[in-house]
Amino acid sequence: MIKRRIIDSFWNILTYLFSSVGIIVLLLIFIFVFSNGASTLSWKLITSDYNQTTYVLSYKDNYDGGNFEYKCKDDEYFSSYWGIAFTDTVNTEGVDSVIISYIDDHSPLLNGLLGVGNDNYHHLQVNQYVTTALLVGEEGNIISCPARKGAESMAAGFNRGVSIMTLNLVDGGGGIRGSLIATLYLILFTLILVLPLGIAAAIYLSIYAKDNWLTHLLKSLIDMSSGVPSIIFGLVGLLLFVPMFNALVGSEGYSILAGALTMTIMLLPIVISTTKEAIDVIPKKIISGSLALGASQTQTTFKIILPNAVPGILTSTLLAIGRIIGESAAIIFVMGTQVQDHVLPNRGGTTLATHIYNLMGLENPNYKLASAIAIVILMSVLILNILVKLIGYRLNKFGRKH
Amino acid sequence: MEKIFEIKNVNLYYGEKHALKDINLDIYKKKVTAFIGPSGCGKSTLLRCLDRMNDLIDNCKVEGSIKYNDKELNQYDTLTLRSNVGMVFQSPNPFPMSIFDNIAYGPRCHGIKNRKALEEIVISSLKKAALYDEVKDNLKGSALALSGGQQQRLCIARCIAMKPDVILMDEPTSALDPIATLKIEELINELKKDFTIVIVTHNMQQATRVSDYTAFFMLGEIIEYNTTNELFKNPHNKKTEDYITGRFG
Repeated sequence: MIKRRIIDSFWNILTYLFSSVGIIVLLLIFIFVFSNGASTLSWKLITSDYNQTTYVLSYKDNYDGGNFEYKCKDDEYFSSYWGIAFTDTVNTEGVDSVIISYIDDHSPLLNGLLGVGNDNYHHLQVNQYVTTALLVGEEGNIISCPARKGAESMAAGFNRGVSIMTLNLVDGGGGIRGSLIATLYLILFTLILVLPLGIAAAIYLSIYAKDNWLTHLLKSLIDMSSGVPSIIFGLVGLLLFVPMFNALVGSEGYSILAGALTMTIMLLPIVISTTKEAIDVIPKKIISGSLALGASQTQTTFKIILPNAVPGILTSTLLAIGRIIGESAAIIFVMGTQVQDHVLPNRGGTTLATHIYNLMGLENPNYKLASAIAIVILMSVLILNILVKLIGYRLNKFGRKH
Repeated sequence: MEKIFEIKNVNLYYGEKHALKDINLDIYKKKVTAFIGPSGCGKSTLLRCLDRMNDLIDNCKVEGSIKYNDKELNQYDTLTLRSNVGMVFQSPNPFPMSIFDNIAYGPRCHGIKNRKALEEIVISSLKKAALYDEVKDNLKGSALALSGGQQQRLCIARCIAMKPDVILMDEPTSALDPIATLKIEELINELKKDFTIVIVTHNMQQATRVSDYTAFFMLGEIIEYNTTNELFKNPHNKKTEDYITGRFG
């Protein structure tokens, strides 16, 4: 008796231990991603462009100095000589930077800066990032103020300089707006293609197909193709769809359209099998009830079967969207890894997932930014999954009543 | 008496299985004909032959001749045939839509689009099926929210909406409680003024209560076919007598 209890509890403990490992690992991933990315994640990250505009400016005249006054906030440093204030901040990508937080209305910098090389006057604006500034002191000495030394030394440097050799400015950049739009485009085009194809195939297989070896072969092929690694679909897309769209719509190499077609063949098995399951659970007696009223098979399909399969179709749609958001291998092959700000269907681009791939391939991988994008991806997949569950629960007509 | 169905030498096979053996039977107009017999004796199978629902089953083969209104059943288009010969199933099978849409479904499938005409059909069908008073305030409500007996009467109303000649009923009360059963039986007695009814039942009392003619089936054969009165009072065959007195099996 006691022996049995010991053996039982041994197995129980083992089960609990093993099951908790999975949950803990999952939790750790979430904690890791959130702790790394949460600080970088912001509305600005989502709405701004990836590519930055850079300016190299100078103020050549010797400036005899003003005595500007400004009441600094806590983290601001003001140069009363030039009438400009700097603040330490992190940019969109999460890197420490110095930002211009205030310019006095009478400051010579406001309209007096010339572009190096083109001699155009530049209108200095608040919220532009300063990467480096080289100033010339009264004795002709050069004062270097890199952003990494902080706003305080920048302000101090400006107070000692009488002219500015170069001022390197950066405007915007580092955002994921382009990738977000490309992802939405990809989802839209893929769904437009995959839903009609998948639903039609599911209707054929569940209703019209005769029960013979050909149908069985077809069904097992569909099941098998959901196990094909996505990189193989990417390869097919690269060798087949990319040239196809080059010829058809004049795209140059990578394109979102080719990506959508690749995702379509990749997602077809999922859409077919989920829709087929939804059709198969519709009670036979309802279908024969419709036929017994003299409705044709086609009328029965479109008036009875399809409306009742809508929850299943929605589930497959959401599953498909989840896969599109998360896919990377196939996408890299057909859409490239170049982040685009002006997204066009017949040009390449990155989805959120391949944006991460792009960031991690840079010389200095930006882990924080990658994690922030990972949060966006994880949250949208999580929300989609909750929606799948809710819809399945709410719309399941037959589960409740019969 | 006018015959509506003339069944001659009908044999039916499900693959290898010989399910109906040499059936000969006439079904009369505006009468209630009951099929009784033990489970698996082929009575529902014969019923499904009458509106060709057996066509939907793979490897089902029918031989012999069934005439409907003096014309071979096979020469009818199934869609027209099934709108003339309606069917009510064993367990209620309303569509998951509103009560109105359930009844309007058949007419809509046959091309009636006029809202007013549909409304008339729905209301008169519901009245004929003795359901109108119970649901008149809730025609937009879900059919699945009705009770089992109401659902079955809804299915009968759905059938009536097609203005059929014949209503086939496959054990229509087997899933219902005694009160709901009684209502359906009253309804059948009412409906036989306008329709020919063929009913499959396990319940012999039900057969005596509702039917004018009764056919007794066993192992795919018709053992005896007669007026209900005669068959139950004065069975000619020993097997029939055993079955109706409960001594069978």
